[in-house]
Amino acid sequence: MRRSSFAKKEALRGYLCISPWVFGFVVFALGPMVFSFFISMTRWDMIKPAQFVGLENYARIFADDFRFRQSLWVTARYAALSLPLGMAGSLMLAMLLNMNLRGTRLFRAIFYIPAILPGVAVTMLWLWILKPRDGVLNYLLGFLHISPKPWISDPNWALPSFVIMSLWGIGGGMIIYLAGLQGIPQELYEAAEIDGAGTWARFRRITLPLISPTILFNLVMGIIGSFQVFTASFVMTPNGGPGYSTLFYVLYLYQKAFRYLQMGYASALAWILFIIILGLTLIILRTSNRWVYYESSE
Amino acid sequence: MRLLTAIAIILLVLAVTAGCSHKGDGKVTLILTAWGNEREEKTLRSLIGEFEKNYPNIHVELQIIPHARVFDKLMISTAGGRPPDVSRISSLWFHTCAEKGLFENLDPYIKRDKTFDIHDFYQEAVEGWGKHNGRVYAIPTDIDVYAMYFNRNMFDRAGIPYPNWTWDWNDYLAAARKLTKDTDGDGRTDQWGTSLDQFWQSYIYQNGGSIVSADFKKCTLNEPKAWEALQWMCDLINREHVAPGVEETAQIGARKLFTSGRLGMFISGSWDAELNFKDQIKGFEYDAAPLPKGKMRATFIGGAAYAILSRSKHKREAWELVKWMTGAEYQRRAAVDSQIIPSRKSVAESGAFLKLKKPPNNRAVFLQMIQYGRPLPPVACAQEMNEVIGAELALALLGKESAKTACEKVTPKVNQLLRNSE
Repeated sequence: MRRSSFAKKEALRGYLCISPWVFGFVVFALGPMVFSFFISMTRWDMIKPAQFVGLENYARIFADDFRFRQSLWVTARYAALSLPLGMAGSLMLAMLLNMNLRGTRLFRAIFYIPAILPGVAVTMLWLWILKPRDGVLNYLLGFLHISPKPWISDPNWALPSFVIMSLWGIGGGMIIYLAGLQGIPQELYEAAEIDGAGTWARFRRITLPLISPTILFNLVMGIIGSFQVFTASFVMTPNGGPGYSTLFYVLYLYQKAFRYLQMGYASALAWILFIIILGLTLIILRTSNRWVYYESSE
Repeated sequence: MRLLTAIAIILLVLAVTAGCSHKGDGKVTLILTAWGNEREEKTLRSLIGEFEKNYPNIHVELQIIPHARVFDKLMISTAGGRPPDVSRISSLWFHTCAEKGLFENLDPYIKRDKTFDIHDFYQEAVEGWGKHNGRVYAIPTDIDVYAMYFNRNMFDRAGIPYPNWTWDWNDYLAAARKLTKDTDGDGRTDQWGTSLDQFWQSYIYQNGGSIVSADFKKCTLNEPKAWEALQWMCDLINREHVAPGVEETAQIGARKLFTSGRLGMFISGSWDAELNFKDQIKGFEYDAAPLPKGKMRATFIGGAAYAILSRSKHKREAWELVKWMTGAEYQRRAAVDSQIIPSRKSVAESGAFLKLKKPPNNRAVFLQMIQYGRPLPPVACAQEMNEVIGAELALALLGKESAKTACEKVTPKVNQLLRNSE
């Protein structure tokens, strides 16, 4: 009896300790989620009362909305370009910074800074860099005898511009890779070197397997992040760009919700995005046992 | 799910801020939102000062918001917090807001108030951006109708007669060709004949076409009258090279080209003379002329109005303010200070606007263009429709596709909107 009452007390204390988080989760995440799921089945402009319409919003999104398809296509292409480039780039940076050279601490800070700068400020900066007539990027390309590109004002160059911008922020992934790389025991490399393994073999056989959990983490976060990309497009091309070439999914969602006040429709869009991201994440997690290596499990 | 969290926080913040604007001194505080440059703000503030003197129990809090943000502000504040009591509104999105029920129906106020005569206002304005579904929701305060400014010195140098009422599209194009020049011989044009009308709708109207059918159910951009007109517009840039392209326009701006003497003909509203030309044009004379006619003469017509938000708690006071802001005194001041076309016939014809001793000499052309004005289609999805068409038309303006292709691609999309409009 005493034991169980002690256990109860302990449990109570435990719940008490996590209650701020639970409160925050219920009020700021779970509550709005349940609410948004409900309003995704209504017509609601926040002015007149909501009108229950069942699955009509979802039906319209799939059957009768070119901007849904366009925004999904734009976002998928963006993810397919920026994700592999960003992951490879940040891994390369991390490996460079993992070498014990003079000044690496300084460079680590420099490369990480873009990841913590506020998005709007960074975008304004890029707007200036990407100006077609006298922007910095075209100026620099001029030295390489590359003709100036129209960047975001041209439907073919707009999406690549956003990918280039996203690559500037790879410092966030880099820091995580760096942590992974520093967790690899040095003696593995020493042993491999004695056995005659070259640089590539060491990277392929030691580095990659041992940081594969980090790669998995960055991949999942990267997918979530690239499907939710918003700030840059909102600042640079709030209307979605020429020919809707930069109408990202969340930008469209935002337009529907806060510009045209179609909250039900926008909520349905949000839930579809949620299902897409959830699906992709599950596929990756399911297949991860084939390529992710956990030291402790073997 | 960060997005949902953000939405929840925004709603919460709106709810909190909504609760803290009540004062208990028996004075009614009206919030008035408007856009305007410094000069307009000065005019507004001095008029509000006089209004407050006449109505000592009313305090008006003026919020100046950038033009592009007012629509968002009205929508979001109505949805999630405390909207202003009265707002200056634009014809571009009047119908979208009215359809959503943002505005108070003013018919009973007009009927009750013997001091207010709606018939003094230009019919074009009341019908265009005052009425929605046959009911009055806003009182027009000014009219924005376009005419063609031209650089007289540039015409003189080229030996071309000034544009006049006989001009059609061909005369206009011929003049634009003669005025377009590469003055320093570096292979790049630095003096342009003309620039595009900021409202592509005007070209369609001038060609006898329309954007949506008479019952507002179908998009008619895929009809030859519509896309031919838009092709003609795009050709000014991409085939004739008499107008600066999208890139130049985005970077320098057609207005800047005109004020710096590098553009022959510039299509804009009467307000541009006071707002920009007065300070920026040096070293040449300019005047205004009618827009050239295509198959017929037509121009976009729009403007601003004042509306009472339906969520206002002080509608009686708000009506007094609306009357004041659309009254003869205000319009006279706006006409004199900012060359804005009054929406009241009595003011427009009184000479306050016409007899100003400053350029352009032919200011009367703006009043004469009113009868050719065509407002934007009064559909609920007006704002969304313009953005959808604009996104596709951007490709045609860049020369990436023909206007016909753009129109054929965008027509089913607009139909989608008209069909699903909420």
